[in-house]
Amino acid sequence: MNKKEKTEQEIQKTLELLDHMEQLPPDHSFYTRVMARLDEERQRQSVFPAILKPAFLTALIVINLGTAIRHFRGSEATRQTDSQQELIEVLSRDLNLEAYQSNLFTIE
Amino acid sequence: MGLPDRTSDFKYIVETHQEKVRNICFRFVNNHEDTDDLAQEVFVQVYESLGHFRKESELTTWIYRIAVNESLDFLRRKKRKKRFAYLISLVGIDENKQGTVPAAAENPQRELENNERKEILIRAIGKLPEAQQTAITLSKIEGFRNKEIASVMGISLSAVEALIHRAKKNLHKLLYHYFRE
Repeated sequence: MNKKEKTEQEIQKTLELLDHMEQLPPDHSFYTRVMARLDEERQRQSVFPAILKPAFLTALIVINLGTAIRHFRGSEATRQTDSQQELIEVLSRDLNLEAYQSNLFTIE
Repeated sequence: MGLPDRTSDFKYIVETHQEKVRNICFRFVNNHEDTDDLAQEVFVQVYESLGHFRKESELTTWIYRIAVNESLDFLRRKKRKKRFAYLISLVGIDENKQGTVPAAAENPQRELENNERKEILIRAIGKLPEAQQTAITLSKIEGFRNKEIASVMGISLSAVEALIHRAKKNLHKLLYHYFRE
């Protein structure tokens, strides 16, 4: 037998193993292990939100408080500006001033 | 609090399909420990996605498709780890270098043990393109006909036959290079 024939023989012997590969039989405890794994996954998922929820709620409250404080401070400034403007208009009418002259009352 | 009532349907699904799913995983990963882990993961996914199953294909086909995809993902991750380990070894950090060539390569004339031959075959299959690897691997699992393989892979029957034919040809080439040296 020459080298080429010998090589071909080895190849065929190896390829034949494809038809004789190990087949796993049914595993009767497999379902139990799958359920145990599912239980583990569920527990992992429920621990995570238990830690995150309080942290998230705290952050939400802080953000809302901050926004509310900024809003009311802003409103106060707006109210002051509106009162000033009203006063200027009243004075302008009383003194019969033109619009361009009303800036005399503007305090810088 | 226990799992929902679909547990009894799920039990039926596991018991009906576990043998084939475990064999699919085993054929791809070739060791019992990883097979068990992978197969469990497949059924966890099945359980979690059962509500989204749109019945566009058979339940069986869908389950086997998950098994194939999970197995291929596992092999990809393993290859990445190997590549990384190889790079580490090049730099000389890891001194525990494992020989990757079976002893037979040192003396190709000697009669090979079945285990070594099997190892060579598994490595050669691992070098095939994924589609060919999938087609030929599934075709050698008991009970898997080409029509079923076509459904799992989402291709035509003739495409499966072509893939198997090409896979065998490529395996022959790979083994020829190996045994000729």
